[in-house]
Amino acid sequence: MSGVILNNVKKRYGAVEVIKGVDIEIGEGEFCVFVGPSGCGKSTLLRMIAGLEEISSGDVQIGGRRVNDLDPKDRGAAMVFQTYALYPHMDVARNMGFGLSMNGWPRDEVDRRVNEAARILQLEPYLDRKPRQLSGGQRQRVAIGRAIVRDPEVFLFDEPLSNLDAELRVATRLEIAKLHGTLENSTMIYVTHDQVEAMTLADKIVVLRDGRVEQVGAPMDLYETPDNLFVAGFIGSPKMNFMALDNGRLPDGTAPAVPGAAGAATLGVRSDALRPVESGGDVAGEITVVEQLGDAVFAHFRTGWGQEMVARFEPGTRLRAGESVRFALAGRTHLFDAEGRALRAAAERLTA
Amino acid sequence: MSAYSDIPPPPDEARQRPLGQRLREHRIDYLFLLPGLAIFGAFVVWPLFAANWFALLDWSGFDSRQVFVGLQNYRDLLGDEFFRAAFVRSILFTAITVPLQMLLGLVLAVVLNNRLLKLSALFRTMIFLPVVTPVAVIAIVMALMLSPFNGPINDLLQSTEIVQRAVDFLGSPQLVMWSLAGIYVWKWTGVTLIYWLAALQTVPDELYEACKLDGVRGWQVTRYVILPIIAPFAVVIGLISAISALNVFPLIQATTQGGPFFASEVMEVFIFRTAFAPPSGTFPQLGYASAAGVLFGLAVMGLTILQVLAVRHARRKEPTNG
Repeated sequence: MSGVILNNVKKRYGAVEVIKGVDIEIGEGEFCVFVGPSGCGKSTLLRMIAGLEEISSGDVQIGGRRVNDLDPKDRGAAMVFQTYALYPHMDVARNMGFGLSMNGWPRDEVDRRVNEAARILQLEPYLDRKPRQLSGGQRQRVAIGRAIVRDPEVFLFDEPLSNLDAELRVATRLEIAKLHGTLENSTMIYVTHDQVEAMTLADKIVVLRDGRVEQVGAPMDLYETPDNLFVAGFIGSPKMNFMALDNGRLPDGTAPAVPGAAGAATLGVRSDALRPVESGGDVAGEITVVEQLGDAVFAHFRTGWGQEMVARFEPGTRLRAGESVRFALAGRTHLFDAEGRALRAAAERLTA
Repeated sequence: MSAYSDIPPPPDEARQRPLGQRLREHRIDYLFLLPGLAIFGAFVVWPLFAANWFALLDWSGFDSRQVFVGLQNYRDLLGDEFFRAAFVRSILFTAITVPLQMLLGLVLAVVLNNRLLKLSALFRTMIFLPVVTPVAVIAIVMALMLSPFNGPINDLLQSTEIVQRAVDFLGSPQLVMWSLAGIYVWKWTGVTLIYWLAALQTVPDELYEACKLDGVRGWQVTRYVILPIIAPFAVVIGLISAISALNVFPLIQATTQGGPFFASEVMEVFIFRTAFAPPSGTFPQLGYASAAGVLFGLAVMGLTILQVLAVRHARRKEPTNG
């Protein structure tokens, strides 16, 4: 049992409360991603689990033990930093084995563990290189290796891909996903502001905002049934389109064919739930920008009441800025009340 | 395409224009450079060349009688035991003060770099205070402090019965260089401290955190992580400290003027004495003093080149992949 439980965890810096009572349960072997905008407290929360930040109140448990007062090294958590934090003057093998050596581990056991980690991470050819002789991706693998050799109950990743270029980020993301498969039963907590990383890696996503948990759930649950406007807007790319409703009517006075719309304040619809139609439809506008992505075309358009929205078209669709478009709501729609909470009653509407 | 319009045009155009035109265009800039250049030329460049010429003359520096003697001054210097003694004294003074100052500065820097130490800013200021105090003030205060006649340090040593009789720190030929080295290190350790603190700033916070998670303890962090990372700075700090230790003239002139019995006469004091013949001296010999200055300058230059070569050698041993 090596899960992590956070129980009403708070963090205060003087009078400022940055973590405002967080409850999260992460099961053994689970890959949990903390995601949220800058300053939402996700890194602070991770550092509190690691022991790098004091816990102002509440409990943190790792593997059933309360670890609030334990030294970072005794918590059974290993951390991978955004900046890798490798020791620049040590070679790769020494970087990975340094902590064990300093804690008096026998040399052959340190070597065995370092070699095993190097094998898993395909770092064997680089064991005697210094960090500056490695590429960014290799450095990040060494940082992960340093975590692996400790055989921790929990791996903590603090935005590990942020310092890599786009291509390497995708490759390393895949490697981390594979690593989670290789290291059975190892719990991983991963902090990112990138919702794509969250969606692709996580078993469970924790969306944080302003020191509070907005929603916890599996990636597709958050995508399909967001609890509130914030989660709906944060998860998914491009961002969900939101339209204000007044007594079930859009700003231009038309009433979209969505059951339950009368009691809602906001109507949310993703770009792929807007189906282009020749005439009629629920929303009309004029195209402002066309983004060709190869596997999809995103058309940004301005509605009659001046709102910017985005719709997804099939690849190869020819569109021009200035063109008029009409859409029917043809997929999942989301309704939110005046406080931004999701109205679960909003029914799914299938393509007519 | 509009996204690229912010990029300035390539500088080729500017480079191709003739020098005269460019000088004219920037004449105001050069005008502002002139005063600085004039001072630099008059007090650094000109003396440098002049000294080499004077060294070949038998000339007091105070009358118009100049006799060209070739290398005779240099030959005389090599047989001059005051010159040899001053030379060795300067080198020894540097060899003693520089390592001491660097070690002390390093220890203080490592301690004061600790963020948990609440009063570290206060301590830094206190240690830096002697650095900004004028040498003349230090010299007077130290003469009083170290005086064998009711000086507080001798009072303390005697009242605690560490010594029986008062110690003449600055008046004993055996002790004077050690006392001066002590004063010098006390005055200048603050500078080395600042250098080391700057070096310590290059160690990212994450390394300390990684150590915490790895369970690496206080002294192990310093010994195995911090010191190896800041070690390369030692060469630069050592070089700067050595150059400053060779410029010890003001301190010695203000305390002992090279005495007693020439026991604290370092190279600079020797050059000053032979060049200008202060009251106690014989007659001024600017040509002879210039030759001493040139010889000593060459020796220091040689040491510096050795040091730079050593740094290059050390760097080359650690290849990077760019």
